[in-house]
Amino acid sequence: MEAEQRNQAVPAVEIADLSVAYDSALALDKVDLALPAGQLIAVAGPNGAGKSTLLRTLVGSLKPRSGRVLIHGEDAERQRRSGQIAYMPQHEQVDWDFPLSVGDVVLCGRYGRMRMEGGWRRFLLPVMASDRHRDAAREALQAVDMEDNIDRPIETLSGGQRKRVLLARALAQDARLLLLDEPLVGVDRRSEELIMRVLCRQRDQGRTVVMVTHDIAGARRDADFAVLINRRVVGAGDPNKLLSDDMISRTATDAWLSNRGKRYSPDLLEIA
Amino acid sequence: MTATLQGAGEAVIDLLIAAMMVVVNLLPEALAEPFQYRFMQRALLTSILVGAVCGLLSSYVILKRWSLLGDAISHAVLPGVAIAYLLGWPFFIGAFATGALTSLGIGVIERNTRIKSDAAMGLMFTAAFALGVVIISQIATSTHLMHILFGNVLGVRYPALMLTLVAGVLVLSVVLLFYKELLIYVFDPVQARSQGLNTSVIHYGLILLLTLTIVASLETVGIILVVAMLVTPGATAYLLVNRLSTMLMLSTVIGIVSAVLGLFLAFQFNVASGGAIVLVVTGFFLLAFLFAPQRGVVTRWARRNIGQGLPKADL
Repeated sequence: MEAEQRNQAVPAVEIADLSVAYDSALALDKVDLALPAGQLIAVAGPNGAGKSTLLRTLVGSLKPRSGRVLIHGEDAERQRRSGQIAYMPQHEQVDWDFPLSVGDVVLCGRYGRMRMEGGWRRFLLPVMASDRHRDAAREALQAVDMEDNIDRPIETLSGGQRKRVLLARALAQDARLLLLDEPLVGVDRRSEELIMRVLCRQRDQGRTVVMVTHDIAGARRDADFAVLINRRVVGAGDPNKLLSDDMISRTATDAWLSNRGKRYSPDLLEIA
Repeated sequence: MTATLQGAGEAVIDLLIAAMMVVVNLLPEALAEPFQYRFMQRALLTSILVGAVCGLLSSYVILKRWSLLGDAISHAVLPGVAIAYLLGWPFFIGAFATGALTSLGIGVIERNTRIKSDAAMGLMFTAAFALGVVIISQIATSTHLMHILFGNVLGVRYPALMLTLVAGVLVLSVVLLFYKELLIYVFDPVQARSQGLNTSVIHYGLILLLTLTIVASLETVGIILVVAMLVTPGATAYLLVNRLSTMLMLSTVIGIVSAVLGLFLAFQFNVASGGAIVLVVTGFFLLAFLFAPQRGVVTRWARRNIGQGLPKADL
């Protein structure tokens, strides 16, 4: 009980002086940020603000130019190796013609844990995975209401179903921190409600859920904590205060000013 | 020490050939007859191994979109062969070295300039190939060059066969033992990172396997045509199945069958073995392209125009 309270006190993510660049363009510029554990956290900001870059840096696929990242108070790579960071990409990032079934993809979320098993079991093919892993994958599919599609090839899925399969893969991992890149884009109302219900339940079970979103109204309604970024952290805190129309439009205007001369779509302005 | 190792290797090969001949002798006499020659037996074993290794890896090449990289490495092997010949080393050491160096060079250009990977590959492999041609034109006969470029499986000797066997065992064990790592890396490298996998190691490991396979296939199908064996079996299987595991098995089988059939036809009609093998595998691809159950051009046309009552593909 005490240990649990102490865990809640340690932030899920602590970022200090983080800069990430593509070639010469800075995508994140000296970001300092602490994300509280056990909460549903919305990350918002205009296009090109570095939201996906932030997630990819936490996941470890982008090397920061400078700065430090701690996850659950520990070195980020150690947390990755122990399977505590689950990731859900935008669905365009994945090749849906890949010859895999829905069940295969969700089982990918267990590969990290399978590799932690001792001795020769570490090398077992996924078809030989123990029931523990199969059950976790099946439960994750049930949670997103896709268990009837477990044997379907992924190329036959609709957009909303693809999102749900990627979410199930992240759930199957049973990680303490979930990083989700725009889980609500391109899904119908029913899928959106289902996904939000699943995410709230994950939060209620004590996990930290970080989602990049453009849905400001939804973030105000469901999130416990919000981060507004535009290459730097514009603000972090109570979603209802932070994601006011005034704040959003100021951020979008800033982005517009700093992007002047480049092509820029002020989609946040439209929402706000 | 090396002598005993060599002796053991040859014993293993002789054992494999003996086992293979048990099966071959069950075939009708017209088919089995060419394989009574010793050189044809060695050629058959080499073809089976090369077909299997190339076929297996070709699925990954297709899914990772590495066809051009395969092309690049295979050309880059040529200067290595030439330099090894000059220094009196076994050819595969040089071939492996320049093949691997070129793939590293491609990465260096890509990371440090604004040049994209296709141009970086085109640039590096033609340069390496040109170097190879220049060296070889000084030191060897054109027959020798022709054999490297187009292969000569009928002339395969023990050392080359040994290399192919080692490459085959290595590639097969890596794919079996690291099936999960390869799958997740090829499908979604970012998610692979989130689970703490070292994607650079997997990336370069896969490139090294590819290089090893190309070097091991050199004497069978040659530098130019090995690309076909690294692309076509996988492409054919990709049109036929929906699961990675079945795709891997099918592309391996297609590789083996093409290599064996091609070898047989080459002997029967006295034509170049590398060319015959590639034509056979391309034939398989054409069949799949036209008649694959779900994705074939003719099949889909028939489903649209004739089989109105047939259930539509669930798309």
